[in-house]
Amino acid sequence: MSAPSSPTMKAPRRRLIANPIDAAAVLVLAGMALVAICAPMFVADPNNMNFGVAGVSLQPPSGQFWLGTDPLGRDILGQLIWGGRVSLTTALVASISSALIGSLIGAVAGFVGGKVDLLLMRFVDASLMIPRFFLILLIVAIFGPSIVNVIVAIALTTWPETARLLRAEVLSQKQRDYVRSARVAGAGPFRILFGEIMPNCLHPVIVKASLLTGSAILTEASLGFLGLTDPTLITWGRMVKEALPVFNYAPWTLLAPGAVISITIAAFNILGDAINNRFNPKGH
Amino acid sequence: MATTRYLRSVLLLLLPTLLLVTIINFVLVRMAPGDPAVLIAGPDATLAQVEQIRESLGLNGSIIDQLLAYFGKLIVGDFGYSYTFKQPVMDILLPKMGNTLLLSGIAFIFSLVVGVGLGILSATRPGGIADRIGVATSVIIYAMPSFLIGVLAIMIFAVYWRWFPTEGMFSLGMKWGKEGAFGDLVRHIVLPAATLALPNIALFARMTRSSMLEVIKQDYIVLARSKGLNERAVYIRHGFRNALMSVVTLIGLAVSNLLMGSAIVETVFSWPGMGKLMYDAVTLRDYNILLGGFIVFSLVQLLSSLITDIVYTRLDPRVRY
Repeated sequence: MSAPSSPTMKAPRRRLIANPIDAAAVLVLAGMALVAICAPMFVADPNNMNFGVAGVSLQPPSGQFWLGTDPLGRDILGQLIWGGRVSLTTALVASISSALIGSLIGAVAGFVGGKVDLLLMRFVDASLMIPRFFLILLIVAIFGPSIVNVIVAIALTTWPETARLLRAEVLSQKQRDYVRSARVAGAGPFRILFGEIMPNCLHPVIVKASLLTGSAILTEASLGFLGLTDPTLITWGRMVKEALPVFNYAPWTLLAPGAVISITIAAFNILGDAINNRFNPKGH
Repeated sequence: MATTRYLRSVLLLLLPTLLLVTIINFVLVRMAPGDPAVLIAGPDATLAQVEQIRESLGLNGSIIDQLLAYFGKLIVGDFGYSYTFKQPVMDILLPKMGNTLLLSGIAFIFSLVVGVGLGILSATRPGGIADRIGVATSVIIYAMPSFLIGVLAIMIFAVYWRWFPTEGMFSLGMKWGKEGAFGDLVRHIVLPAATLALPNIALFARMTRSSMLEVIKQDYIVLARSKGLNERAVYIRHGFRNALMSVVTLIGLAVSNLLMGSAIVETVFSWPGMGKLMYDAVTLRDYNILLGGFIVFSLVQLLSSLITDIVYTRLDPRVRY
C-alpha cells in the first residue's frame, strides 16, 4: 500500500487539506479538542451534579437544555462534553501507546531480521487472526471495566497491525543509500535505526494511529453498549449504556451520543485517509 | 508441490494462532484478581463447587501441569461447565452457533452483492452526483456504531412503520417445522441482517469503486474498448473480474466486522446467537462461556482467512503457494 517515499524525492508539494471534507474533519476534531480542554470554564461537571433534580429529568431538547436531559436530570450536552474529555483521552492514549508498541516491535523485527524477525512476525501473524473485539471484551470483563483497563486492553490487542506496517517500511528503508552512508560514517545500529530510519517511517504510523483512534472510540462505545463501562466516570460509552432503558420514549438520550460518536469516528477516518493521500498520492 | 506448500503455510498460521488463543485464555484467568476457581464458578457458586473447579482446573498442580491439562481438555472439545446455565459450555455454544451463522451468512452475502454492485455503479461515473452521494454515505455508515444503526432501524421500521418485528428469531409460539415458520423467520431476520450488513456494504462499495477506477486505466481496458465492445462488457467482463481481486482481500476484515457486529446486533435484536450469548455471559459473569466463545470466534476468523486464501488462488492463476 505504501510506495516508498524519501524526503529527498522532489515531489510536487501537496497540501494536507486537499478538499472541503478533509477541512471539515480537521475543523471538527480541532473544535472537539478545544471544547474538551476548555470544558471546565463554561460547563458544570455532570459527574458532581446533584442527582434527581426535581422536574428536569428526561426533558426533551429545549432552549435551556439544548440536547435534553437524562433520567437523573443531567444535561445531555454537558455530559457529552465532559464524557468527550474522557473518551477522547482514552482513545488517544490507547492508540498512541498501541502505535508506539507496534512501531518499536515492527522496527526491531525489520531491522534485526533473521530469527528475531521470524519469531516476532509469526507472533504478529497469529495475533492478527484473533478477533480483537472479543479479546478486549474478555480482558475488560475479567479485570473490570475501569478506563485504565480499557486503554490497556485496546493498546495490547491492536499493536500487531502497526508492527507489520512498520516492519515492511523499515525493510525498504534499510536498503537506501542514506542508511549505507550513515553506516560508513560510523553510526551504530541503534543510531541508524532510531536516528536515521525511524524518522522516515513515521507517516504510515501516523495514519494508523488516526484510524486506531476512531476505532478505539467505537470500541469504548460498544463496550458501553454491552454494559462494560467505568462506573465512576461519565464517558460516551456510559451515556450509551444509560440511554438504553429509556431511549424508546426519550430518543435524544441515545441519538445525541450516537451522533457525536459517529461524527468523531468519521473525522478520524477522513483525517487518516487525508494524511495517507498527502504522503502517498498513489494510494486510495 | 503446490498443495503441500500450501498446507504447510496453513499449519504455520493455524497452529500458532490456536496456541496463542489458548495461552491467552489460560493466562487471563490466572492473572485475574482473586482466586481463578472463584472467578470461573461465578457469583452464585457454593464452596463445594469452587473446590470441584479447583480440582478440574488442576490449580493444586504446577503451572505447566495446569496448562497441559487445559490443552488436553480443549482438544477433546471440553470447554468446561457453565455454573449459571448448569450445562457444559459446549452444549450451550453449539445450538447458538447455527443461529449466528444463519444471521451473519445472510448479512455477508447481502453486503457482498449490494456493496460490490454499488461500487461498480459508483465507478462508472466517478465524480457524478450518485458517486458523490455514495462515497459520502459510505463514510458516514462506516463510522456509525452498529448499535446506533440497529436502534434507528428498530425505531423507524419496527416501531414507527411496524413493517418488521422488533426482536427475536420467531414470533411467540412459533418454531422450526411449524406452518409458516419460514416466513416468520424471514420477517425477523431482515432488520438484524441489514444492520449487520451495512458497515460491510460501505466497506465493499469503497473498495470496489477504488479498484475499479484503478483497473479501468489499464491497457487491456483500452484494448477492450477499441475492439468495439460495449461499455457493459468492458466493465463487467474485463474490469470487474480484475477489480474483484482486491475485494477478496477484504473478506477477512469483513468477517471480523461481522463477528464484532454480531455481539452488538444480536443484543439489539435479541437474536438467540453467540453474540447475544456473549452479552449474557458478561452480565452473568459466566467466564467459562466467555472463554469458550472466544475460542470459537477465533476459529471462525481463522477459517475465514484460510478460505480467503483459497478463493484468492482460485481467482488469480498467478498466485501460487
